[in-house]
This record gives sequence, structure tokens and C-alpha cells, in this order.
Amino acid sequence: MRRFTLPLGLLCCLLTVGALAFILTAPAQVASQARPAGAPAELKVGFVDFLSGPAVLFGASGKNTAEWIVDKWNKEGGIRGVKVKLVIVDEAGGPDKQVTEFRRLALDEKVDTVVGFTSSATCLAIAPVAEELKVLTVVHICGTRRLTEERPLKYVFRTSNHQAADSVMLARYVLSVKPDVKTIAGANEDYAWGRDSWDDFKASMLRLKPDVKVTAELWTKIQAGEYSAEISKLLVAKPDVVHSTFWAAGLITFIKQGAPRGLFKDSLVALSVAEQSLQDLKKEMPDGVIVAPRATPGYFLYPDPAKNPLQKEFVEGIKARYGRYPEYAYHRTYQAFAGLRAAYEKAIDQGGGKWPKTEDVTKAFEGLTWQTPYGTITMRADHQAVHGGLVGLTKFNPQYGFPTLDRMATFQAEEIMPPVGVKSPDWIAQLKK
Amino acid sequence: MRQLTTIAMDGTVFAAILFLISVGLTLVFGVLRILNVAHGGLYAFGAFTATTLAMRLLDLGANPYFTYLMLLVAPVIVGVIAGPLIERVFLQRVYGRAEAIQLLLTFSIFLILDDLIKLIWGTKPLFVSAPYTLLGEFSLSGIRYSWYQVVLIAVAILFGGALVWAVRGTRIGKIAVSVINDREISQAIGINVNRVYMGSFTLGAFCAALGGALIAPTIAVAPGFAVDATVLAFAVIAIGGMGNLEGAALGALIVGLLRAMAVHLFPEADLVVIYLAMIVVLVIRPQGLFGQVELRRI
Repeated sequence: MRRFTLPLGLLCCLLTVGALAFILTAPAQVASQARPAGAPAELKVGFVDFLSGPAVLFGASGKNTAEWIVDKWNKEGGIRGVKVKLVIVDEAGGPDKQVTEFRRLALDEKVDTVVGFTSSATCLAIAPVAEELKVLTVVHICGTRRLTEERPLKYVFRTSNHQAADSVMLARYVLSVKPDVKTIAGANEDYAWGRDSWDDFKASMLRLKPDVKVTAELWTKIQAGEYSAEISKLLVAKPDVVHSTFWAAGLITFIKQGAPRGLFKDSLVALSVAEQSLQDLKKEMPDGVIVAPRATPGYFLYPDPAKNPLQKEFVEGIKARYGRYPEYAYHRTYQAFAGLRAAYEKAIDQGGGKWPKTEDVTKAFEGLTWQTPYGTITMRADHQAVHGGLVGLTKFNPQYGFPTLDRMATFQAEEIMPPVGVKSPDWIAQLKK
Repeated sequence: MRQLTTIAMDGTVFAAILFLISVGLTLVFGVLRILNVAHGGLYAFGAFTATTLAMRLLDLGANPYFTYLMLLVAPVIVGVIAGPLIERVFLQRVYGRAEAIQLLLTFSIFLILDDLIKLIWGTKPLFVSAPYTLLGEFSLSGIRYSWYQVVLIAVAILFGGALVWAVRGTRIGKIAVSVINDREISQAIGINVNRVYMGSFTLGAFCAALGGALIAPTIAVAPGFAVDATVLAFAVIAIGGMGNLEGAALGALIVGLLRAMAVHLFPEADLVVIYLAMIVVLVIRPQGLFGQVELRRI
């Protein structure tokens, strides 16, 4: 008997060790089997957003999402086995500095792609540089329509609606909740974002209801922080509807100063970016204010996370890691990264399993439709992605301790974004109800 | 008529805010002859400290009226800690040196304070409502205003008056004026000039922080919010005359009323009107409205 137990014991040990070795190295083996030919050791992705200054609210959301999604992908093995490495850069400092940083990312850090850019000024400045250096650049938030409407792009893509969609969506929604509106006014910041947003809202309103009168157009400094005089002017003018694209601390201050003085009772106020600040405002935000996550197809409660596993994973994942429900900046960052991954995977498949060149990825990106927690997005041939938009009225929700959206309305991409080849002002001038 | 009343009210409210922002800056320049760019950082520190103290107080369930006490306690804390620290450790090394060096130093301190704020409080906007909404609202010509705005006007007038009395009417104030006029003679007659400088800077820091603390209930404080306030403060004291308290009050009133008029009558000019006023004043009277022409000492 003893002659058989020793080899049997040894055999069992060997089998166990072998099994363990196989189990422990299996993912690597599977990955290395699935790794496309010619794949780099890692995919270097530059991420640029505001990590300082007043727009840090956007940058924090963007950075959080970027880290969350990249960690998730890397835990699951990366993009077809290739892990992703983030190189995070602060968008603060102005367009000139960002052009230098972009060159540094491309030429020194040798990133494969750059994702980011919240400021319209920055994205307009770096687009020609990205084209010149032939770096795949995925713009996630920057709103100016000029990025994709004024010149043909080869390497630059925008994965979210531009700012005309916010304005058209708000105009349509205002008319649905207040069809008898007679007077409108605007309180916006005096730069491209505020100017273009108000121009498009005003043009949409006048196109859809020509007898509307504009009773005040107010312009403040970016993040002015003192709006008493503007609020007085609005209280004097008493418009039916007030449009504002104030954001972050400036928006909170505007609401703080305006609500006690009855601004939100006298007028129906439409705030295109306010969804981002609902969790900060809590009880300060009055009920019955038109609020949107810009023209994004959903927010953390819409569509239904209970029925939508991707949304549930995203919302719960972000809340668990950062203590905050994802707002529109989180989602637009997700849109960008998810689109980037979908483009790479399509390019790999189209290339027969080889790791694609940049031009293969850009070709794959055009016409691509991909899934996000709140719905699908399609990238058009002009490198502008389109998707639907959600808007509603604030209503304090005791379950969350901050207002959520009531009387929601969703708009299809065709209702709020101009078609390919048509400039937004021209399209708005022909808007149909 | 209604428009006139609204413009007057808005202008005066904004003037009060501007005065509270700029009085510390003009005071420090008046005594130390240093343009203290770090003023904005101290202003921000005052705002953040006051907001945090008020929020904590409310979290503990205290009577909301005690938040007004926090608006006074916060600037004392900031002034007493930051004032002597900055003056003794940094500023005293650049007295009498080239102005460019002094500016660079105070600008660096401003940047350090800005980053310190981010380190301590993070990047999210902070705000507290109770002090602003507690006193309720009233109607003036059919437009609602908050009583807190009236409190700001009253505090600005009282505080300005107290400062003028302190400088003109008290022994310490007269000693400070002596140091302003001639440092060496003052030293020669036995005045402790170093202590006067430290005291003046600490008072200036307190004023900056007080401005921030009083304005904090009306806004959401976030990193970087003080930059605009600092630029406005410079414009106000340039108009009124650097180093002159009455000048700061007049400069604040001019800028406040001009801005209110612009918002109500020509909104497009809102951003430009303040700096246009500054240019006009400086072209006609380069030392500002109440400023003294500086005589060169050999």
C-alpha cells in the first residue's frame, strides 16, 4: 500500500499546484490570447478638465468619472486586454497654456488619445493643434457649437450635444408648461457660453412664438458673485420667463440672493445647468424652477435605474465611491470614455483583431452608436454626437434631501440638434413646433 | 421714480459691499505704503471661516441669531492669526524696497492663501443662509429687498465712522498718522514703529476678513471667488485715493451707483463702467479724488 500512496500523494500535490497555477495565470493567458496583435503595453489617455478655479466643480466630476471608469475597465482586464493609464491635466490657465499642455501630452507624454475640455475657449484653441499633431481627441463637455460647425474635423470628436440643444430644449419645454408666455428676459455671463446660449434661446422662443417680447437682457462677469442689481432689474421688469446659464458657485449665489426676494415666484426661471448644483443647494432651491442637466438624455433617477443595469451600476458606483449622485458632468465624461472604448473595439474588430492605428479608430468612430447609462448616442460624420435631452421642474424630494425633477419631458435628438451640415442659427430660424 | 429708488438702493448696497471689501486695503496702504495683494486672500479666509462657523453652529442646533456673532468672531480669528504672522515673517523684510518686490511678495502670499483655502475647505462651494434670510424682507417701491442688505449698509457706515474716529480721534490713531507722515522722525521721538506697523497690518487683515465674513451670507464661497473682489477693491481705492478712508467710501459710492445705473439702464455697459470711471478719475486726478500728491523725499 505504501508504494502507491507516495506517488499518489505526489500526484495529488502536483495536480493541485498545477491547477492553482492555471487558475492564477488564466486571466493573463486568456488576455494574452485576446490581446490584439501589435497592442501596446498600455493605452495612455490624457484627461484634461478643471482641477482648480471656479470650474473645479466640472473637473472634479470629470476626474472622478474618469478614474472610476478606468479602474473598472482595468479590473476587468482593460480594453481587449490592454490596460488604460490616465494622465490627468488641469485645464485652468487659459487657452494658450492649454495648447502648450496639449503639445506636451502628445509629444512628451506620448498619449494615444486625449479626452476632456470643459471650456469652450479651450476646445476651440486645441482643436487645430489636435488636427495638426494627428491626436485622437474626444471632447466631453465644451459647449460651443463652433467646434463642430465651423470646420471639418478628422481627429477631434465631441461626444455630447452642444449648447444650442440646451437652448432649443428649454424653449420647447417653456412653451409646453407655459404656452401663454408673453415676456422673457435673460441673465447670463458675458462670454461665449452665456451669449450663444441666450441668443439661441431667444431666437428659438421668437421663432416658436413670434409675439413674445424680450424685456431685459442682463450680462454679468463670469462667476460675478453679486447679483442684487440684476435681481432688482428682473423684479422691476417682471418677465414671465427668465433664462439663465449661470453655473456652480455663481448659480448658487444667484439663487441665494434671488429666492428670498421673490424672483422665483414672480417669474418662471429656466436654468440650463442647474441639475449639477441640486445636491449642493438642497432646500435653498425653490420648487417649480425649470432645471436641466443641459440637454442630456437622463439623470441619476431617469430612466429607471431599477430597470437599467448600466445606469444602476453607474449611479451606485459613483455614489459609493464619491458620496455624490452623478450629475451631468459625470455622465458626459462617461459618454466620452464609453465612446472612445467602443470606437477602439470596433476598429480592432474591423482590422481583424489587430491593434488599430489612430486613423482606424477615427474611421470607426464616425457613425458609431454606443450605449451609456441614460441611453444611446450616435456619432455623426461631422464628428458631433447627438442624443436626446431631459428637462423638468424642481420638486424637493425628502428621500434624497434635495430637489429632483418633476413633470419631466424628454426630447429627441432631431428636435433639439441641427442636422449635419446646417449651422445652428440657420436651423433655429426654421424651427418647427 | 421707482427706477430711481431702485437704482439708489442697489447702488448703496453695492457701495457698502465695496467699502467693506476695500477699507482694509486702503488702510494697509495708508500706513505701510504697501499695496497688499494678499488682501483678497484674507478676505476669502474671512468668508470661509465665517461660513464654516455659522454652519457648525446651525448643525449643533443653536439659535440661528448666534450666526451673526460668528460673522464677528471669524474676522477676529483671521486677523489675529494672519496679521502678525504675515507682517512679521514676510512684510517687514520688504519695507522700503522696490515696489515691484513688495507686490510680488504680497501676490505670492495671496496665491499661498488661495491654495491653503483649497487644502482646508476643498473645492465645493459652501454657503449658509440663516444670516441672510433670518431678518426677512421688505418692499421699497414695490421691489423686495432683504433686511440684511440694509444691515450691510448700516455696518459699512458705522464701521467706516469708527475707523475714521480711531485714526483721527484716538492717541493710537495719531501715533499711526505720525508714522505715516514720517517714519524716521516718529522713531526718533520714541514711537515703536514696528509695533505700529504690525498693529496696522493686523487691523487691515481684520478689516479684509470682516468684509469677507459680512458678505459671506449673501453668496456661495468657492476657491478663487476673492479675485474679482480684489480687482474691484483696487479700482475703488484708485478712484478714492489710496490710503484715504473717506476716499474709499466715496470711491465705493461712485462705483456702486454707476454699476446700478448700468444694470438698470445700459446692461451691456455693466462690466466696463467701473473701469471707465477709474480711467477718467486717474486721467483728471492721478492721485485719486481724496489722495495726497506724494512728495519725493530726498
